Amino acid sequence: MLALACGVFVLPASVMAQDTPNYAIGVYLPQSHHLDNARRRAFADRLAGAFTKAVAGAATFSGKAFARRQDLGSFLKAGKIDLLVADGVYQASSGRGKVLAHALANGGTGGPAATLYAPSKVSLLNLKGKTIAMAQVVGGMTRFYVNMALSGEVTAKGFFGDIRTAKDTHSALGAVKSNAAAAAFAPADHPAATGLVPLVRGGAVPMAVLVDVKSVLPVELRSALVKALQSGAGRGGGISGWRAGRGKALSGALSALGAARVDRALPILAPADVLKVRPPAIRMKATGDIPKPTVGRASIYPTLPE
Amino acid sequence: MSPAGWRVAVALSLALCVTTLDVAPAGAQAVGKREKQRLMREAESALSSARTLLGDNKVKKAGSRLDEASTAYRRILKSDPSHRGAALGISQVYYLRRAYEKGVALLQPLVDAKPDDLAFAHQLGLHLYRNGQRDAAVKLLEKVADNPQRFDAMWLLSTHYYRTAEWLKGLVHLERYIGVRADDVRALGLLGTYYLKLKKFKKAVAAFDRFLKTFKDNVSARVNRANALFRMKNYRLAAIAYQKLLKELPNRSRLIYNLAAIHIRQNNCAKAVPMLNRFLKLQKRHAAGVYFKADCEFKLGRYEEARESYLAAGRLAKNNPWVHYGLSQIEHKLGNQDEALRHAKKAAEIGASEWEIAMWVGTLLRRAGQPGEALAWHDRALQKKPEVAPLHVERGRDLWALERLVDAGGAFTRAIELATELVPARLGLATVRTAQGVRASEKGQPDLARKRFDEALKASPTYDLARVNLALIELHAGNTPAASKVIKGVRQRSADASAIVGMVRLLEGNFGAASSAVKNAIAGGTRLKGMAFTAAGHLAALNGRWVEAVTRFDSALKVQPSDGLRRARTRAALSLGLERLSRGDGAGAAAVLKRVQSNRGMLSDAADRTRLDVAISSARLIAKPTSDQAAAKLAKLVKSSKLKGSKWAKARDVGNAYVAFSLLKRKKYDRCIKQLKRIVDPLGGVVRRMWMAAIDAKARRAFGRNKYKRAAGLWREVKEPTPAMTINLGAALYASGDSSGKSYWAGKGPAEALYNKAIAADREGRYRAAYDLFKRYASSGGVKAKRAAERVRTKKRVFGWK
Repeated sequence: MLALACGVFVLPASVMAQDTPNYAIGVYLPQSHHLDNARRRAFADRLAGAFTKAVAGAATFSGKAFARRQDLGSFLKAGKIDLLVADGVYQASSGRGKVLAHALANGGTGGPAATLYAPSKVSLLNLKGKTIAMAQVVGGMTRFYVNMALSGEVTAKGFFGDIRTAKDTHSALGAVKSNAAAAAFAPADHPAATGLVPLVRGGAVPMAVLVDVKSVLPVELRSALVKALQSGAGRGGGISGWRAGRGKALSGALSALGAARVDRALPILAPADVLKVRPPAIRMKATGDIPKPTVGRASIYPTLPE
Repeated sequence: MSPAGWRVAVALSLALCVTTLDVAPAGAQAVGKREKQRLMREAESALSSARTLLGDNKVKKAGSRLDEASTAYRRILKSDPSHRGAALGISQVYYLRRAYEKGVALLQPLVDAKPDDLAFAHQLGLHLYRNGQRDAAVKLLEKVADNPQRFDAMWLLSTHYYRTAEWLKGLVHLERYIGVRADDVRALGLLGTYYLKLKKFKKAVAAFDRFLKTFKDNVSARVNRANALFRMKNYRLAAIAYQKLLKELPNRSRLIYNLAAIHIRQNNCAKAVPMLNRFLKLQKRHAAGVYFKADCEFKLGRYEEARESYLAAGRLAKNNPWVHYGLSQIEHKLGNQDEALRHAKKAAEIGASEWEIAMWVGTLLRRAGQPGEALAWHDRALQKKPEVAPLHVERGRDLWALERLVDAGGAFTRAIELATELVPARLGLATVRTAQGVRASEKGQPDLARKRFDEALKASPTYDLARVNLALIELHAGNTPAASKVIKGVRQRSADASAIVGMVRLLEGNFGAASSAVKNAIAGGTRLKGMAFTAAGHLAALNGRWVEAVTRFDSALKVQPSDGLRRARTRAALSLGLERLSRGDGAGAAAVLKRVQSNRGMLSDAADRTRLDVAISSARLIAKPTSDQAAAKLAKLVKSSKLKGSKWAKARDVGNAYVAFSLLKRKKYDRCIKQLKRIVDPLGGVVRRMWMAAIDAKARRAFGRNKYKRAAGLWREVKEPTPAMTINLGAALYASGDSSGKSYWAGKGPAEALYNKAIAADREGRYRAAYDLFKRYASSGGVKAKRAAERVRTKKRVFGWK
């Protein structure tokens, strides 16, 4: 079993040097355009190979794709994941490790717009109390999409009816198509959204981030990996490219995981009245007399003009 | 026949013998009385006829009449050689025939024989005169000319004395002649001339006027008349007369000259110069004319021309000192003092006896700053002419310049003795006495000073400076009524007099008049600046114009500092500071009161000193409300013993209010609220408002720190909250989770209630209502309008609303 498990991580036909480290890459992209996990797996493998090549023998990499959050969670807990290529919302929620790079969506944007899809054009109010589907990336996914797609203009709890969570976006959108849900939240332009109508678009959904889970990779290794991504290693599944750093979409996702605006907005204070707060005028009058004028000795010496 | 008669008869006979050749008929016979009378009548008639014919120039006919008369007279005389009438008749015949020698031959013996016979003397006189024996003739004629019948004698004597220029003698006879021969108009011409010569110009003009009525074109008379008018200074009529004459006689140079003289007398040099030029074209070398031209050009300020004219006059009349005198005056006018002096000295050299020139030299020297030398010149001139008043005046001026006041006074006094009305002398003396008075005043001798000023006014009652100085004496002595009386007498209200008037009126309490006078004094640049500014300061203080009062007192202090003035200034500055304080101008008040503080001993009133302390402390705090130091000082003062007692209760309350205000400004709200509790008087609601402001600030701060319950609690303390406070209380309650806060947003009030209602509506899922409320608030311009607008846009986008 152990060998089998280890075999998963051994690249075929590769002979490892005894001192070369091997890093395990976990891929968790439930909202990517990958239609199933097999495709995600292939993505993970390709990524591992590219990384290995990129580091020129300094290390080796092996990849694994996770279809469910819980599975990923277990591996992470066990310390079996060194690098994570995860959905940005997931990373925003967990906050684990150091984000090395973030993915760009098609068109080079920071992420596709958070979108509410429905079978036909209806107003949002018409969806009040209805079942809404979304990929369950993290526990607060409803808040995320309420804030990101709807700018928090409805309560996360109570506006919609049931929230139908799916393992991935493909499934969520499929639920709408099969009338299991009135609408679904998804990143824009997902292939599975074909035939559905986008009702509302909002802020960017962070597609993916590369995370040094344990923050142990040497700096030069990190750079090599980021370069590898930027050179095309991490493309696919709706990812058109990579950029170093966290990216704005990730920060936005973190905020969006909080309470909806309508739930947290506070009343404002009226400005202070002009109370004419001023101390009273000081009215004092001197009472002493001004001494009477006296005339000192004075004279005007005459002149005798010619 | 009397012995005299015999003598006459003999004389006649002899005379007739001499003269019978031409007259006596042969064979004379005795003629009776009647016949004699007849012959006499005949002869007189013929004689009268002959006179008339001669008057008509009918000489031949007159000659036969004279023959007739002569024949008749001879017949009488042949019969009666002593017949006087016939003898006189013959004499007249001879006279009319101009046979004066015969007349003399006839009458001389008769006069010798009968020297008292005036008729013989008259006739003989006439003959003698015509015969050229004037002296003898005049003697005889003088005897007889008082007889009105003998008017020809009068006329002869009139013309004789005219020729000999013995006017008084001649006038007697002429006036007599005109008295008896009023018909003889030509005599008036002579009379006019006589009067002119005797300087009886009015009479001369009257005589000429009468003469010219008949003899209109008589040029001599017209000229003389014009001259008489000129001499009696009737220049207007004289000028008219000359101008008329000149029209007819344009080249009569004397007329031109006289007309020029008239213009000069009338001080019309502008007209005189062209006249003189015209005159000089006819009489180029007339030195006086050139000189007067120079003089006129000088008076007209045409100095270069005048110089040339003087030089020309000098060439015509060499060694004329007045030429150099004139040149000296020109150089003096042109500022060439050395040249002026040179010419003046040259003039003095030439005209050593001319005191006017010597005086001028001295004057020039004095003006050149050499009064000692000037004095020497004037003294020398006075030695020659001790009675010339202007010389004494100049001497006086020299002594004035040498500051020898006593001697100067003596000189001017002497000048006045010689010429009582000489203004420069009186002015000089008044000046000297005034100077002496001032000196006495400066030495602290007011009585002597008064005496001198009185003397000055006696010398020249219009010498206002003496009055001014006298008034100053009285004012200094505190005698306002006396000063008022003195200064009333000034003739011309100078700036100095106005200064005194201003002070006098101020002391009298007549503030309106005082104000006007002081204004004039200052505007006029009075030399009594100290007095004027002092008075102005007091007047301003009386009217509560403290800025002006302080400014004026400061100006007065610069000129004439005194303790009284300092006290007045300090007191005025205190009022100014308090005034600024009452307007809330802390910085301005502090600036003024700083100096008052350093002179606080000048404030006689203890309460004023306390007010000063309060004012300074308050002013500093008003100027800088956030100053810890200023607030602490004021707080300390309020607590001190200076402000103990009910008298200062208000001051304490106000002081505490300022300290509280400072604490409020410094955001020390709790201390502010504590300080406010010290205040007793509500101060017109100020205390309450300040307390409310402190509470509000505290509540806001709590709200900002998310201490919503605390904030709500604070706002609840306000019993009569403002609309803003009401809304805010609601906000605090709602934010703390108490939805009853919503009820505080109903009703009118600040627009923020709309925003808050929108928030509540959102929370309750009333999204459309929230949208509408946000929209309303966004258009209200409230503090969060932008945010509301963004909510509106977002909702529009999210809900698809239009």
